[in-house]
Amino acid sequence: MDQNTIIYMAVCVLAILLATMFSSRFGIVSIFVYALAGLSFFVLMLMAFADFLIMPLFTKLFKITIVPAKGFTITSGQDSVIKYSNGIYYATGYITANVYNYVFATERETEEEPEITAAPEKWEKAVMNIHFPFKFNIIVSAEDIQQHREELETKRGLLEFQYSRELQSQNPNPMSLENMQRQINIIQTRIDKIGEGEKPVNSLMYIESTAVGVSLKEATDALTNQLTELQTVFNIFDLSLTRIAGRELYHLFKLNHQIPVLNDLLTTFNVQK
Amino acid sequence: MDSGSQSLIFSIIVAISFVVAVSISFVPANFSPLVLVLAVISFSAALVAYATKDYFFLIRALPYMKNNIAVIDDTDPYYLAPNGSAILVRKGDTVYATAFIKVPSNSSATEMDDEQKYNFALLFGRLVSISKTPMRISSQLHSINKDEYIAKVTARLNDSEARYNTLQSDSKADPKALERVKGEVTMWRNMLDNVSRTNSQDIEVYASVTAVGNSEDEATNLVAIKADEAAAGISATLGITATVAQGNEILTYIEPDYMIPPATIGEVMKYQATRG
Repeated sequence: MDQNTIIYMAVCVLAILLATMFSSRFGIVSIFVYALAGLSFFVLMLMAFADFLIMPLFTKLFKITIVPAKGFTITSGQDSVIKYSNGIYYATGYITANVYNYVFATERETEEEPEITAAPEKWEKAVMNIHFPFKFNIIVSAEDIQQHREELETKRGLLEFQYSRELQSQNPNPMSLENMQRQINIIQTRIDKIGEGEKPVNSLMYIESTAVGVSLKEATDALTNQLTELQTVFNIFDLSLTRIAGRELYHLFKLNHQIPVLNDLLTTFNVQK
Repeated sequence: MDSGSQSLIFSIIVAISFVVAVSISFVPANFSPLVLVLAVISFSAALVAYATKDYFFLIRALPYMKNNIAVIDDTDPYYLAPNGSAILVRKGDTVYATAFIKVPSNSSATEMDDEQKYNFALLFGRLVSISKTPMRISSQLHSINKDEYIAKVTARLNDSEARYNTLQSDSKADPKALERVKGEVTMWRNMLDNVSRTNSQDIEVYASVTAVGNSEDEATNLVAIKADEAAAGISATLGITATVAQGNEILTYIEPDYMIPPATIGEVMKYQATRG
């Protein structure tokens, strides 16, 4: 959770608590207020950690469609962008395609080579199995190597300091020591990789597909089928594949026309990954 | 961009929530149902205030909603640069220009041995780290626009049918020539049937970069420099000739009706029906 989210949440929770506190002197009514406060807190948590569930539910409930730009509509479920042109509905949807962040993988350098060798062939096989329009997108931005290396070295130094303190304590916790040692190894592997010439990059991957139909339902149903098929086909790459709904759909639609700066990308796409 | 107005709206809504919450303390003891109403208002305001963090684009459109349609923006999402080499998005005084670089690929993994495959994958690794500003690399499978090809085959079919009819009406016509033209008619007809029936797709790889300027010219020039740099980097890394896309080529990358051209809708729908 980033600093901005914490501030927003703290202020809103405070408002809810204040209303609950002032209602406590109203006997039976206060029980209803407590229940409502609990519900509000639950919705707040959902909005913080799973906004892609709660906000599409809200727009679906009130049948609200969104116009993100002239000629385009976002469905009330916030999972497809619709373009109506020459009597045909074009429904576009998105899937996240992020690499699982396996912590242990960074410690197993030797096993990476066969995976890398198999990747081009896997890609071709996947594409050969798809017979409808789709786009695989990766947005990349190289990091400053020196700065990244310094950040890693600082982290390693801090962990080594914590490790030695834990080791010198009267009752060192073996689990904690093992965990810290593992983290030090991971960081060391990353530093070594940079030393070998590998460049650190920030990346965001997503898959986009478009389906057509003579009615809105036909187009959106076909899109759902296509996205499900894409999820099955791209599963061989060991990616986290989830259909995108909510605000990220709107931002991904806008990405077609303009790629924002790195900071905006990092703050916009921080949850559904 | 909208962070100033977002903070302002958040502050106003959260202030409403606090004011309503405090007003509960002034409610007389015999007005307890009013407390429930005020609490609901306060809680709702707090939730709406929080929602402005990620959904400001939607929240600000809700008060102006008509027929359950929330209009975030009713202008065109982009327009083509006058020289056709980029698309432009204007936001106030700032113009964002995005250029697309075509990355031709002529090799296949099936022709490579393990070492070549490994090296190719590493080249891709190098490709993704050539830009320090965000660059998008996309691989797009789309339907080929067969309009022109179909028109050409139809013209040939009409031509050979006309010749066949002329020869048929001529009693002195050579039967062998008649047979040959008949074969030609059959060939073009079969070709037309096949072109319309089969699903023709193309896979294209392209990169896109965005530059910001205070005017259209500035943004277009800056993105041209950025695109040329990216094209040079891609060309050097992959050993190919990457070029900047122009006009309609760009539309194929961003517009759904160019990704599935009208001439191919029938076959796409037929395929969708078999899967649905």
